[in-house]
Amino acid sequence: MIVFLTTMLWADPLEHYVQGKQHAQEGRYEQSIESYLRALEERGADPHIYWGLGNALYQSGEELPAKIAWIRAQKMQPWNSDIAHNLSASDLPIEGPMVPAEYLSWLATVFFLGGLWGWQRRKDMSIVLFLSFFLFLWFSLRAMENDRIAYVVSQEVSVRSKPSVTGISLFLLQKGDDFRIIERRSNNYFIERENQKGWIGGENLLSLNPKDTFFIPEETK
Amino acid sequence: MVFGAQTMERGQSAELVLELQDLKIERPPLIPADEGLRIQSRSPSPSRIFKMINGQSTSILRYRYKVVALEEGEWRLGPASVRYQGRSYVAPSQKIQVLSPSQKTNEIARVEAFLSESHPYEGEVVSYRFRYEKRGRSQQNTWNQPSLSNWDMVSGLEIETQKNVVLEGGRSVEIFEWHVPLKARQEGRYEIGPGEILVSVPVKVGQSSPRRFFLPETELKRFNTDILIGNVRPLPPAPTDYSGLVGVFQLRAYPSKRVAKVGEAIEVVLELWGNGVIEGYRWPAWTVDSMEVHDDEPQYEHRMNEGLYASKMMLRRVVIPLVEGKQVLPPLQIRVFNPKKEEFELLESDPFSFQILKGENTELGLDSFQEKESDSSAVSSSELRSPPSELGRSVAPWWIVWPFTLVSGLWLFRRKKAPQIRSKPVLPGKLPIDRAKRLAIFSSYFDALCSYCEEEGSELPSSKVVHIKEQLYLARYGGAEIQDLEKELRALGGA
Repeated sequence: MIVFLTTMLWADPLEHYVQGKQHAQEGRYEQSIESYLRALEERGADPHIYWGLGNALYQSGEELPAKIAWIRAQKMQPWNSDIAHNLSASDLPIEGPMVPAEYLSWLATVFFLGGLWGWQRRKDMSIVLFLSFFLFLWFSLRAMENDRIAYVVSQEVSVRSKPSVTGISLFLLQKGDDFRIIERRSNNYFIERENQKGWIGGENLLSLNPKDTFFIPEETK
Repeated sequence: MVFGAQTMERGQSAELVLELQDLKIERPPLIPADEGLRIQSRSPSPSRIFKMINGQSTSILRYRYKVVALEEGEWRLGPASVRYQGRSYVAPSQKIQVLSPSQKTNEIARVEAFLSESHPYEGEVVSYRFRYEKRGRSQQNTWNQPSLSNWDMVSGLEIETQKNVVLEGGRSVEIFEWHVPLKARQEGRYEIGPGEILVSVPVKVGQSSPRRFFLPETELKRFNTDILIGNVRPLPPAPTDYSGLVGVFQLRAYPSKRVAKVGEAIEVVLELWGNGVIEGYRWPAWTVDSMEVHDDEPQYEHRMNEGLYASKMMLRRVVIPLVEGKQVLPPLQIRVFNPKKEEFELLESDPFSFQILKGENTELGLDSFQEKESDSSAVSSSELRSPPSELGRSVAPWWIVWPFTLVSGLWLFRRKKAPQIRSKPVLPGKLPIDRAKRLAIFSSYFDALCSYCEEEGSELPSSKVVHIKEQLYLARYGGAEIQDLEKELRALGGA
């Protein structure tokens, strides 16, 4: 208990975040990335940490992880024009940020409740609300699907027949290849790319979902 | 013709020796064999020995052949005939009985050979897999590669060997696999001869002795796979821009930076990888007036990865911009033949766009460039906007509004309570005999009657109410008759 409380007291995400900013300002991008990653570990998904991390990665020449970090930040703060400005620095063909699925599903629920409430009062308005509900439900599903998109961040990785290194290598993926995550089992992901399916280790990929672990490959650190 | 075996088991091979005495022949003579047998010369040059026979030196040439039993049945081997100085010399033919593999043989080893693609296209790389199941106490000796017809081995690559152990009926079986990448040469028939493994098997003979325990006697057995025969398919008519590559390939190209100054080198990495042979491929050139293009030596690597051939070529291409402004390099295009799709496909990289700033030797700085190119959306590293000093919200705002949504939903669809019609209290007709209990009922009845009248808006006569209150008070201490009080309460209720 004492150890836990001590850890809680010592673990200050703000401190690491500020350190990350300072390192970046002084041009020490590797230390900056380390600090931001520690802040992420302690704080969890945070738009400002992702934002700073994206900047540090971009400055150190890692364009792909940088863009993914910015996309994650933008997903959490869709109204933030500064993050959108940074995103325009990269031309990598990654599907842009979408409004979070939670927000869209909330709007869909509001429209659904409104439609139900108005059914006995004004049927025409109620139908419009129900149509809006279906529209936002579709947007919400699309946003959920966007969260499943991930990119290879290692130089080369084997996609295997089972979630361990003993699985047969089915096909190879290179850095920057995109794919869709179907299932997650511990730190292994079952993925699909161009009708080919297989398992890949979590340390080789970065998804667009802000809640997923942000992994930086060894060669970047 | 010396061939010791009269019977063979399918898949086994044995050695045949053809001895020529005082005959000089340049090449090994062809020995005919029925279709159930396959005969193959081991080496083009014979071994030569000299013997003294009846005081004369005699030279003996020995040609060695490998005979493989392919199908069960009775087959004829030979006759071998040699023509030398106008005369024919014939060795008689021999009958060989080929039997199915016995259970004992199957308990020693099993061998199989496969091709990853039995109908390849010309130029396609396939994997030849030789599988050997080692059972019992046999010792593996050597694996001999099969003879190849209409195939080329992919050069510069080691044969991949894998070993696995599986349990079969409670006994462990070691499985060895050899993977050989082969490239189909040209359209037409192909053939891959029997792959062979030599296995030394312990022989149970005589009494056991300490020497035999530590150094058991063994015999050498040969196990052969079937011959693989098929056809190499021709490629369909190729388009003019066909690169000559056959396989499933992927292409990727990325620049080291997207913002540079005039005269500053930008490295563009071009990567091509797939399951076909890329060695010797020449990358298409870029001809752009506004840029100088220089190529580094391409780096090529290939390997067998878990039975599959994989190759990769990388080229570092340096482009030096000569003109400022937005420069766009065309996408890199390579047309390959994809055997899986059975068609030619065009691999295409993304086009590259660069923001080229004025060089250092000119007066035009970054600021003036930004003024001129204000419509450009590209952001350089120095223009990145930094995050604020405090952390963001860990709980997103849409989560905060969820409880409000829930509450408003519940409020919208709340159940409205039906209005309750309150009935006028009634004093029961049958009352308990006990005075105290009866008095308690009177008191509660009086209170209920008063509150009922108050809610309904009807007023009780105030003098009566005061009087009954006094009577109730007095009755508690015996100062009033309880029967009178009952009458008065009933009268008040009736009123």
